[in-house]
Amino acid sequence: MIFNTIEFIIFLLAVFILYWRFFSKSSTKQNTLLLIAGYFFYSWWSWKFLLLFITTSLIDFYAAQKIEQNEDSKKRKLFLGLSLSGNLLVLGFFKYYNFFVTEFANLFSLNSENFTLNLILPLGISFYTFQAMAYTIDVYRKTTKAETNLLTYLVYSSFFPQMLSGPIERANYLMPQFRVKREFNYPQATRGVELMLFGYLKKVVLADNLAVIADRGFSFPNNYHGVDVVIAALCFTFQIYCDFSGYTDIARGVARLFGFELIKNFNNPYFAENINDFWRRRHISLSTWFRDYLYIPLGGNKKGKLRTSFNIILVFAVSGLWHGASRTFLTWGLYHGFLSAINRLLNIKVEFPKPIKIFITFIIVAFGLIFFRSATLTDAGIIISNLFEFKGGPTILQSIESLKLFLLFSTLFMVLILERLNEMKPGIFKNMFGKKLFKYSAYYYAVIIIIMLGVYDNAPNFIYFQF
Amino acid sequence: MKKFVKKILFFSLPILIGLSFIFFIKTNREFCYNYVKGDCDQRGKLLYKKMYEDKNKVDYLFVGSSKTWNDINDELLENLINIPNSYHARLFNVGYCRFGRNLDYLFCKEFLKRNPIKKIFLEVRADESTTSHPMFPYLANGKEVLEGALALNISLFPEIYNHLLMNVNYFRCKINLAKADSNKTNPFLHGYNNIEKTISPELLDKFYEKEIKQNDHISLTYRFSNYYLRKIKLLCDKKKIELNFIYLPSYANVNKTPAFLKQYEAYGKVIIAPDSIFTNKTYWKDVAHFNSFGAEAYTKFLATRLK
Repeated sequence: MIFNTIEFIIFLLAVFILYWRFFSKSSTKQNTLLLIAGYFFYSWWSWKFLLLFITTSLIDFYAAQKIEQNEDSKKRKLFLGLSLSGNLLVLGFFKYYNFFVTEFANLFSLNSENFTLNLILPLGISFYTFQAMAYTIDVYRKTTKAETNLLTYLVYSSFFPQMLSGPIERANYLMPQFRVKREFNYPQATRGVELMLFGYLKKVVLADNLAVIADRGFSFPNNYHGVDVVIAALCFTFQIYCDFSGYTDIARGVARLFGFELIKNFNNPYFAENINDFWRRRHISLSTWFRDYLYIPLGGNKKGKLRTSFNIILVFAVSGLWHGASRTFLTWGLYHGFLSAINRLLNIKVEFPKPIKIFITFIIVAFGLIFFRSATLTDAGIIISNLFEFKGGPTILQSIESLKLFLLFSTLFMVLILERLNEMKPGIFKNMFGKKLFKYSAYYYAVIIIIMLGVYDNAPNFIYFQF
Repeated sequence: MKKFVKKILFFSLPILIGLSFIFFIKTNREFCYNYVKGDCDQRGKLLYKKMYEDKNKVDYLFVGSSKTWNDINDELLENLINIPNSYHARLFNVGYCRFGRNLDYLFCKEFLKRNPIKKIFLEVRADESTTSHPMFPYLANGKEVLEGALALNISLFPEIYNHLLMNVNYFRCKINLAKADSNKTNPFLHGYNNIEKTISPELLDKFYEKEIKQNDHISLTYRFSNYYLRKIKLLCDKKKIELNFIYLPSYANVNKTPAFLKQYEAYGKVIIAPDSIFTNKTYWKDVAHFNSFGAEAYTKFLATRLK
């Protein structure tokens, strides 16, 4: 089930009413309903993969228990290995088998079709396996307690607002919220609806309309040059942000309706002042995951400059592959890895004015996303070479109504400015939204724009669902 | 909780009123026929041209699914039944892929607006479809979509949603937020779909064996279809049009007659062709549709009945 469908809205209404009307007496009842809702939500896509999901969840639950119960470090490692290999095996098989087999076959000039399998990638696999691995590692490190209640663990791993595209939650933060009975909290629920509205505005209005322009440029790389390529690349840059942060806003909003708080996954990444700052602001739950469970175990920055650089590049390469099993994602990861390593190695401290630093970082990020969005590295090469060929005025925006473009870009501008204002002056929204006239004008504006500009026919999926 | 629900409902009220207004706005017919989602071979666009722009008015209308579309060669039939130097009756095949009596009704009504129809030939099969036609919410108006509730339309809610989406798009076009699809198709004289390929006899045999085993699985749900059949009948009576039914079974005609034969007979004449046409293995494109040879044979049979 996808957030931007009418099925989800009906599902959400039904679960919300049941949750607060009939299942609100105890945390066990609440969790039972959320578990059923989570499994129903996932099985809407595929009940077969739901079985796989339940199996890995059960393995993780019991492995964590065994890790905690055993003092013998060998046994603890054995059960940690069981949990990690279970998750990595599933992830590796479904997501990376075909990629590595093809690369291996190409290396030895073999026909890769003889080795590849017709595999379907389970929805949200990269997210829920990473969350599960974080849990067992934390139990192993003794930074979190193993959950003894099976229901609590299962509902934690299948919480429907975030199971498909995160945020990748830590057990320390989310699990305790399942252990206590949730009481209906009016301000929290209202903030949840506000976030959902904001998320839908970003997804169905901004991301899905920008996708139309970006798709033209990236689907037909030979047809566009100069300004057109710039427009396509910029549209994709904003599309991916609005798509993913829109999803996160909806997920956080939905969670609030049920009395939960999920972590913030974005903090104005396009206002970052350098590449490291960008990664502290974008997909925060994944960045911190890689920091805590890969970068630091590799030695982090404690083993000299060269080793630090190597660690950074390796982590970013893995992060690229996490997004997708293809050379384009790997290149995107390496691009950021090298930039980040150079930034750290040379410790560049050029004192540009802040807006210039933000602009340069934004351009670097937008350029890197050409690799992310292109179907192949060859396409990316064509797009980059066409970027510097100027052949007349822009044609990529043709056949899009000027009023629509105006509303689209002015709404995008407003969204970015509002988010930035909220970061610079926390509480500004509280003051602004304290005034009823302003509050309701903003809500109705958002709803009207969602109805009049939203993409509903063959609504595109969330980009991060494929990961 | 109550306060929250109240506030949400209060907030949603103006939005629901606005959406209801959009749901009932009168849309341009051409927009609707161009908009249909999941259309077959742009047939929606072609049918619009035929209904509203073609100067050749239709006398005999053949309405049904892809079976009608593939099985009745209206051009050949027109030549066979017309006598030189007398009034030339024009025939048209409105067969549209997939089933749903509500769309049959809508087509009859739409064609009657500009055509002096004298006879309507409605396709019947071994069983009646119990569901709404997927194109219906795009071609019907808001009131007609909601009327589905009276016919116990099980797809009512998705249809309301699809109709609303279409109207929102229409509204967007009206305020220059979107462009309507252009209709560059040309009107056509006849609606038959000519296909020459023939299915393998083995596949026909397999189908026959399966059908024989499932022969008793005839649906008993007739309410939905009957609601619209009755409306078609009332429309015909009002306009003094002769209503006929043509029986178009799948290969081998396992059921011999339609399951609801008596009900059809209460509304009009039912034309049933001899089994020899349905059992000839060279006449089928697939198990459910005639190829050009089958269509020719069936059309010739129809001509003898129409004369």
